[in-house]
Parts: sequence; structure tokens; C-alpha cells
Amino acid sequence: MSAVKFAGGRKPGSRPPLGRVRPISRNSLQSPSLVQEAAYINTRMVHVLTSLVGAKCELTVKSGKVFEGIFRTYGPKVELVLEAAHQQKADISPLGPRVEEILDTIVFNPSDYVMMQYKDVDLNFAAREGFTDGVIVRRVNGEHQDRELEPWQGGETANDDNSSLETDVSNGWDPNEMFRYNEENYGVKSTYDSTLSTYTTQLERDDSEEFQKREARAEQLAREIEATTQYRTHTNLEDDERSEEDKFGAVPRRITTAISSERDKESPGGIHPRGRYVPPNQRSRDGLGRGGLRQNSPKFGRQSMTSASHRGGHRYPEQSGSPILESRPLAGGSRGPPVRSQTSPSPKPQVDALPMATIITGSLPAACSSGSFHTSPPQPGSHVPISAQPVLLSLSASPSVASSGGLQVSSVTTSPRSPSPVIPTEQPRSLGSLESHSSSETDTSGRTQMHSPAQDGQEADVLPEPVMPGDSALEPQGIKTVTPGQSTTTWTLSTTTRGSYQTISDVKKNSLEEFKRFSEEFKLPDEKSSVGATETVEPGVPGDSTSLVTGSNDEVRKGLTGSPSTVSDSTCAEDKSDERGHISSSPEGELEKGEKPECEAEQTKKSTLNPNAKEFVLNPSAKPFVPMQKQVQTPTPSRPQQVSPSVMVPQTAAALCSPQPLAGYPTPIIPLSPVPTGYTMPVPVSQHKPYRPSKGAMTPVRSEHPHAQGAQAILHQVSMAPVSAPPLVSYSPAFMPYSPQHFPNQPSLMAYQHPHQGGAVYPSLMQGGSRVLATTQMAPGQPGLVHAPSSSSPQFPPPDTAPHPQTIYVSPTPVPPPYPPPPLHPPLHPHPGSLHSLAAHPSQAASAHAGQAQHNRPVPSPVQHQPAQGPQPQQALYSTALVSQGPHTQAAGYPPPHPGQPQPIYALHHPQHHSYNSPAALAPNQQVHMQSGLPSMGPQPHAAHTAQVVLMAHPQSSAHSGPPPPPPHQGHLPLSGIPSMPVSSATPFAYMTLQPQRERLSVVSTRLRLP
Amino acid sequence: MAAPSESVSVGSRVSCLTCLGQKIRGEVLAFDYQSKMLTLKCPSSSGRAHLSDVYLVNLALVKDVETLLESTEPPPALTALNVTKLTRRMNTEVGEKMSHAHALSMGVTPEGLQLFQTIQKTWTPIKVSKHLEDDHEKWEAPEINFKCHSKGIKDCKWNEKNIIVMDEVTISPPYRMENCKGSEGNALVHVRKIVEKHFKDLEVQKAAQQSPGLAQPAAQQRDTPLAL
Repeated sequence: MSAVKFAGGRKPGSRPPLGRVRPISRNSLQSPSLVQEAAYINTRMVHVLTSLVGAKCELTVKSGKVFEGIFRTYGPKVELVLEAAHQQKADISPLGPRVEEILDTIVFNPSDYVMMQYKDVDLNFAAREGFTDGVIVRRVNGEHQDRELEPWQGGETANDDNSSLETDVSNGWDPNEMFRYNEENYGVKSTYDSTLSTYTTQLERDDSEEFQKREARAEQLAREIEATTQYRTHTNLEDDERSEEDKFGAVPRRITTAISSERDKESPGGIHPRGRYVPPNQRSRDGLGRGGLRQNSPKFGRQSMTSASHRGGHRYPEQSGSPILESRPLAGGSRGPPVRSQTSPSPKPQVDALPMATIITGSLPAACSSGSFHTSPPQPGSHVPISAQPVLLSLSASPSVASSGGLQVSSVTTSPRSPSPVIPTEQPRSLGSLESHSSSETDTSGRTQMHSPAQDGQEADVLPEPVMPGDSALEPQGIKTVTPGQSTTTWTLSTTTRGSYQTISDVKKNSLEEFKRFSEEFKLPDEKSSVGATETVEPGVPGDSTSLVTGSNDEVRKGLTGSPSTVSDSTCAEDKSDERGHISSSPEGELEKGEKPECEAEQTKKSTLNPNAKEFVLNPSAKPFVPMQKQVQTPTPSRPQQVSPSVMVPQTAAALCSPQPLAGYPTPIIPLSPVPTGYTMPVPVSQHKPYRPSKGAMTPVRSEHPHAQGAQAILHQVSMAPVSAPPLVSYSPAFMPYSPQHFPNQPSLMAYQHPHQGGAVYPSLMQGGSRVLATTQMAPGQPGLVHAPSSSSPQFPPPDTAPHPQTIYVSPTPVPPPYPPPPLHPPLHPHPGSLHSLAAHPSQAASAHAGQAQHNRPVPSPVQHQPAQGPQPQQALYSTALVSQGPHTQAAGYPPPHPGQPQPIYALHHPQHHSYNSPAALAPNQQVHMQSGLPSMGPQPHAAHTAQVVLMAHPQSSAHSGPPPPPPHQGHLPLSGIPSMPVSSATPFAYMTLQPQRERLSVVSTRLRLP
Repeated sequence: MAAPSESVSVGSRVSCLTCLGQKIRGEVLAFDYQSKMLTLKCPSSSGRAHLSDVYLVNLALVKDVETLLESTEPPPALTALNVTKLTRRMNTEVGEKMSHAHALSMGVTPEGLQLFQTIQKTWTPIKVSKHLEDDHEKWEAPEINFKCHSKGIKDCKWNEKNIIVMDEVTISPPYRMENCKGSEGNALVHVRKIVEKHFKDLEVQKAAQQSPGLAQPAAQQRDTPLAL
């Protein structure tokens, strides 16, 4: 080694050795063959000379002359190199040589010099180093010698190697050595006797009572100690085989493929209220979503929106904002679940979702509606107390109008994602009703129970949580929160659709059949959901006409809430769920800050509920509850909405509805309601019917819209819808229930809900980019169809995109109304941009929802739609929306879109919604529409759908502007239907399976697709 | 050691008589049989304990080698060498020698050269030098931490006949205290103290009637922290 370094030593200019000179003494032996490098081979010589580098030296040559210089290096033959050397002469001044007397470098051959003297040399100079880590290490390992490397000649004898390593005790004491040492030096003889008799006194056991007493006492104490939790904790820690990372990792990582349980957890985590850890991504998303909502809200001019809007924003963000994590969850929840449902889980989710969703949505919508209506927290609280029914009622009422679509969507999403989970959560929200639902739902599956508990524990929280669970079920990840909202919305939508269509019974039957089919066909990842869900759905659908109705109501509510949900969605499904569960806590919060407190309380509840919600994946059973609650709540909500629509709207508006609710909402709502009805009618007979009912309600809703509830609801719905593509499936079912329930139970309520839905939808659309997205989502969700499409579109598309989408579309039809509003919003907010924003939002929402996937899916379909109709419709819608917004100019707004009337807008929206609703595809479609001129696309697909829908709408809420809606829907439906078809196929199927309506929807969707 | 020579082993004490009649006694540090090179370590001629004189003897030109004491102990382990440090030392030594030669050529008086060496090798509070280098304001620091010493003022150079210390203080001939000029601060104060002490020591030496060892004062001060 040194040889190389010193190789250049001979040359005058050669530089001093570089690098560390390491002793190689042991290995280095002088070898004759290496004469030239002899000096370098002698490590000790090398070491000594190297350590003298830089030292002043006096070299004496044979002649006796002395040269003084600085030793630089030496060559292989020990040629010495001096720097700045000068010859010592008598004439040189004692002060030193002059420059001219100095030679830069001199090389002395070994044959010329006698000796070289270094004066006052510190031999340890080079060895001394600073107190650095490197030095310390070097000291510690100073004895380290470079070992000769030996070629590895094993590989087969791994065992031997291991043994060699294990048996290598050279580094420690051998036990026997220690024993011997101790014995020799300390006279202590060691043994392996475990009794340690040498050191301790042995216990003498006898039969005396005293001893036995003591022994018993000792055992008792031991038991006591061992029984303590602390002891167990420590023991568990010791026995815990998990890695430290798992045990103490501060941030539990979500697994995309996550198990339902994990999903639940995640969803909770995503949800703030639940108190679980919210991944930064989600948070940011939430923030984004909120921001988006806020933006929307500003447009609406709502003040209090901030908190609520924030919440809503969070949810939205999750869906859209946090596309990957949360959005995926959301999307996944909606989409993923739907897909799964389609494959296997979808059936379950759908079934469950439908019932559950309905219930949930009902509760949520109720909450939303109530919240939206109830600007003040008290109302929400009251609603909550009221229980699911009130909520449902409110939901149904509001949903019926605008929210119906949203609800449907949400329901759909829920179903797809994790029917059970969602439902549970929703149920919790619905409160008492939830329990009842849970009972019914529980029958269907464990979910309901879970949900009910969750609900009980956390009404408001439950909603979000449920959503999360649903997501988790469908998609374990962050989507949960979003999904919940979506799911709820989807459910509501489905319910609404059902409700809208009195044919519900038929629809239900169909849906039940479909559900059964799905359950059978689809192998749901979620064991329970598929089977239980299907079962539950069936019961729920036929038997639970009320439940369905409620579901529809819920949908409506969701639609209503949907707007809120959009907001809440942004915040996270949590908020939505919370809002809903709390009776629109989220909506309220979104809509009205004053309500926020309640919302927060709900959220807190939710937080607690969240865990439960997760557990209660089987919420589907909850559906029954939802209806009840919805109905009950709806009334109150509706009032609240009316009462403090403006307030609510502003808040929510910021989130989703606010814009719509304010001015344009009413109009939008109206269109929506009509549209929905029309849509529902045309598309999925059953579903549409439900929707129509909702629409019928929507008329009321419209009235409400002004109030802002509608807007909120719409927003929520929208958000919900987008959030939960899966909901699409649920939507159809939900729709079924909704229509029946709503109508039967509370027409007025329905109306309220409708308005809400419509408003919500509008808001979403209206709100603009973020809102638009939300709306897109929402819209789909609101319409039910829309939501379903958005969220479900991804999921659904695979399965029965076409049919289901259609169905969904049908349900969306109701949604369309909401859409129109959205368009309005766009106009207000520049929907073109809003479209983009929607697209973006959708993307966000989608992302949040798992929307990413959904969005992606939707996007394609939507894109198509958009191209075809999307652009026109959207624009028209937007324009119309703008127009409508101002005055609710539903007609105005609508007309522009397709026929140049409000309806067209709806149609556009509807198409999207339809796409969303029908399957997850619908949502996608919507999204797509939103994103890339979905309107254009949407319109065409929707056209067919719309037509159907329109029909539906007309029947249900002809008064509401049923006619207008239909047109839009038709136009949109065709477009959306087609696009949505692929995406949402699964969802539609799910819906179908879920409820007869769904089947109808699916049929419609198929029809639509065909076109 | 690897040296094959039977007669010389590391650690042994040997005595060599060169062809020039110089007799060298020392402890064998290393011996290379091939090149017939022998390195011996002798106590420092200056008498400092931690220093020593090392001789590289070319046995080819040695009349006689006598082993005074055969070593029985195994040769000490070789330590890693910091080549960077060695290289730096070499460059520094060369630089100083050349600088000194240049100054001498410029006609600098012996006093000036001595002072220059003294300043160069005077222990200087690291604070001062550092501050001088880094920040002028810090020079105003009232106190000097004498516990932290640098190895000396390396930033010392010749400018014509003037000595420039740390780019702050200029000492012009005849290199007395009053010739120190520069911005007021610790640096100037410090340099003045060095100059003062230098000439004080010089006078002491002269008073001692020691042979004209002009270089000795500086050498002595080398390791003696400047007492300020």
C-alpha cells in the first residue's frame, strides 16, 4: 500500500505520500522478488519515515557536506527527497539561508548519503489527532488488523457457518472459565443449581397451618397482582410479538388494501370528530375541501360557512381533495366498495348500503337538512334527539326536492363502499331511529348493531364514522370518511328514488331481486355485507317501504345534506355523517356556524362513534332506522332550513350548498326536484319514482331551497354523492325506500328534502370549482344518481355500468335538479371554470372519495359524456345555473343546458348524476362532466336517462318543474348514462340488487347506455 | 519487526560509526535489510522529553554497527498516521522557510526575523485570532479566553520589510512596540504584548551572555504560552 503512495517519491516533484499509512507489519515480509519496493515492504520503516514527513532534517552526504531541508518523501530504494533544502555553509548567516540559496527539491540516492538527522521530532505528531469520533473509533479499534481475505468456499454449509458464529465465544468468558476463575481467586464455587442454595436460605415446607396460611396468602397476593391490569399490560408487552414499530409507531399506517377493520380505523382516523389520527394528507385534503367550500360559501355570501364549510370542505377534500388517500378511500369507499360489491361485496354493500344508506342518509340528511335548516345548533341537537326518523323526515323532505338526488347518491355510495359500516354510522347519526334501524339492520347483518351503538354513542359522529366504516368496508382507507358521506348520500338517493316512485314496492321488489342477484353474483369482499346486505335490502326494500321511504327521505336529506355533505365531505365524510347523524350537524355547521357547535358535539360523538361505526359495517340494517329518523327529523330540518336557510346556506353554501341555498338554490332546487322526478320517472322506474317522490318533496324543497336547507342539503348530497360512488348502488335502493317512505310518511317532508337536495345539488354545481366538484359529487350524490355515479361510477362501471348507471341516472334524475342548481352555481361561480373546478373538485372529491379512482373512471365516461353533451349541458347548465341561481331560475338555468331550460341543466347534472348514480360510474360521469365538460357528455347520456328521469320527476314533482328536469335529464341521461355505464356498471348493479328501483335504474341505465 | 537482520531488531540499542567518523547511538526504530537502512531514535538534543532526534543511517556507509542491548520486548504496535497532518506540516515548514528566506533577501534585520518567528510561534488566544479573522466587532470583546490557545498566529506574513499580523497589525522596522499599527482592538493589543515580551526575553538572553542563539528565544517561546 505504501509502495504505491511512495512510488512517486523518486521524482523530485513527487508529492508526499497520501492517504493513511497503515501498518502491514504482520503480512509484510521482505521478499527478494520485490527488491525495488523493499523499502515499502518494510512497514516499520515505512511507518517511521512517513511519520517524519515534513520534519526538518539535516542530511549528510559522503563528502561530509550537510544539507538542511524538509523531508518530503522517499523512494523505493530509500531515495530521500528534501524540500527547500540548502547546504549548510559557513557563509550562510545564522538567520538562515537566502532565497537564492535554497533548492526547491533535492533527491539523494542511498549511495550518496551517510545519514539523515531529524532534530526534535515528535514521533507521535502524525498519530495525534483531534478528539473526533474517527479518532475515538480508531483508538477503540486500534488493534484492528487487516485480515487476509479468503475466498468463500461454502454456501452449502450454512449451518456450519452459523454454528461457528454462535460458538464463537472468544469475545467473552466461558462459563467454566468463570467458575474456575472465581474458585481460584475468590474461593467461590459456582454451580448451575437454580435454587441458589449457596446464596439464599431454602424454604422449608411443612404441613403446619402457619405455613399453609402463608402459602395461601402468598398465592392470593400473587393472583391479585397478576389480576391487575398493570400486570397484564406489562405481561402483554413482554409477550407482544409485534414489532416495536407496530406497538409504538406514532402513526398507524393505512393499508390500501386495508382490511375492513383497518379501513374503519382509517376512516375514523380521517375523521376529526372521532378523534382518530388523521393523516396529514387527509388533513390537507380536508383543508382543501374546506377551502373549496369556503370559496363556494363566499360566493353564496354565507358567513358562518367557515366552520361548517370547513367541515364540509374537509370531507370534500377527502373525497376530492385527498384523492389518493382519502379520496381513494372515499372513492374507494364508494367506488371501491361498489366494485367490490359488483364483484362480490357489492351485493352486500348495496343491500346493506341501500337499507343502511337509506337509514343513514335519512339520518344524515335529516341532520343535514335539520342542520341546514337549523341554523342554530339546538335544532340539530333536537333533531338528533328526535332520532333517525326526524332526520329521515327532514332528509326525505329536503331530499325529495333537491337533496333527494344527493341522498340517493350518498346512499349509493354508502352501499357500494360498505353498506354495513355506512349504515351503522348513519344510523348512529339518525339516533334513536338508528337503533331501530340497527335492529332491523342488525337482522340483516351485524352492521346495524354496530351502527346503532355507534349511533347511540355518537350520533353525529356516527354518520361520519359510518361513512368511514362504509368506506372501510368498501375501501378501508381514508375514503371512509368520504364514503360515509357518500354512502349516506347514496342511500338517501336510493331511498329518495324509491320514495319518489310510489312504484317503490315494485321497485323494491326489483331492487331486492337485483340485490339478491348481486349478492349471489357479486362476491363481496365483505362477507357480511354481501349476504346480509342482500337480505337486508330485500327486507328493507319490500318490507321496509317505510324504511325505503325513509331511505328516500334520507336520500333527499342527503341531497339536502348532500350539499352539506359536500361541505362535510370536504371536511370528511365524518362531518357529513356527523351533520346528518346529529341532525345536520355538519350541514348546520357548514350552513351555519352557530350550528357548528352542535356539529362539533356531533363530531365529538362521531369521534367516539367512529370506532363503533367501523365495527358496524353492516349498517344496511340501519336503513329502516334512517327512514324513521329522517321522517321525524325532516320536518324539523325542513323548518330549520326555511327558518335559517340563508344562514345555513351561507355556511353550507361555502361548503356546497351555501351558494345555491342563497339565491340560486331555490331555483335550482326547483329544477332539481322536477328534474329528479322526471329523471326518476324515466330512467329507473322504481328509482326514479323514489326520486320523484323526493322531487315531489323537492317542490317543497324548492320552497326550502330559498331557505338554504335545500342548498345545504344539496351540497351535502352532492358531496355525498360524489363521495360515495358505491352509494350509487345503495342509491337505487335508497331511492326505492325514499320514494315510498318519503311520500307515504311525509310528503311535505319529502318536498322539503327535495328542495334541499335540489338546493344542495345546485350549490354544489353553483359553488364552482371546488363546489362544482363537490357539486359534481354532490350533484350526483344529491340526485342520488349523481352521487352514486361519481362515487359508484368507478366502482359500478365495472359491474353494470350501463344498466345501473341508467338506474342510477334515473335516481340521479332527481339529482339533476340538484345539478341544475350546480350549473347555476357555475354560472355564479363560472361553472365553466366550475366545471373544471368541478373536474378538479371531482378530482379532489373523487380523490377524497377514492374519487381518484372514481374520478378516473368517471372521467373517462364523463369525458365522453362531456364531449357529447357535457360541454353544452354543463355550460347550459351553468349558464342556466347562473340564471337560475339568481332567482332560482331553475327554468332559466335549465333551459339553457339542454332544451334551454333549467331542466337541461338538471339533465346535464343528472346525466352526470345518473352516471354517478347508476353506478359509481355516475359519479365519475358527473365528475367527468364536472372536470371536463361533463355536461356535454352528460347531456347525451342523460338525455335518455333524463327522459326517463324526467318522466319520473314529472310524476313525482311535476309541480316542481318536473318537466324541466326531465328534459335535462334526458339529454344528460343519455350521455351520462353511456359514459357512466362502464364506470358505474357495478354500482348500478349494486343498486339494482339493492332495490327494485335499482333494477329499474339499471334498466334505465342500460337503456341509456344503449344510446 | 520484519527486518531479517539477525543483528538488528526493533527496540535494540545500537551504536553506529559512520564512515565520516560520526558515532550515533540510539534505539532501533526500524531496519530494512534490503536497503540497509537503519533508523535510530535518540533523545532530543534540545532535551525535551516528548521530542527526540531521529537518524536514518545508511549502513552501507557505516563502518561498524554494534548492538548495545538486544531488545526482548516485541516491537510496539504501529499506529495509523494522519497523512493529511503530515502533508500540512511539510507545506507549512516549507512555506515558513521560504518566507524567511525571502524576508532575509529583502534585507530584513535579524531582529525583525526573530520577531517574526516569535510572533509566528507565540501561543495566541484562539479568540483573538479567530475574531481577527472573522469579525472586527468581536475584537472589542473585553476579555480574552486564555484557556483556549491556538498553535500560534499563522496568519503572519512579510510585506516588504513589514510584518503583517492577521491582516490587522502592521509592524514596521525597527519592529518595536511603538511600531505596531493597526485598528485598535484586541489584535493590536495582543501583538504589542508579543512584541514587548519578545524583546524583553531577548534582553534577558543577552544578559545571560548566552552565545548568539538568536533562534533560541523563539524556540523557547514556542511552547510557552505567552504570558500576557
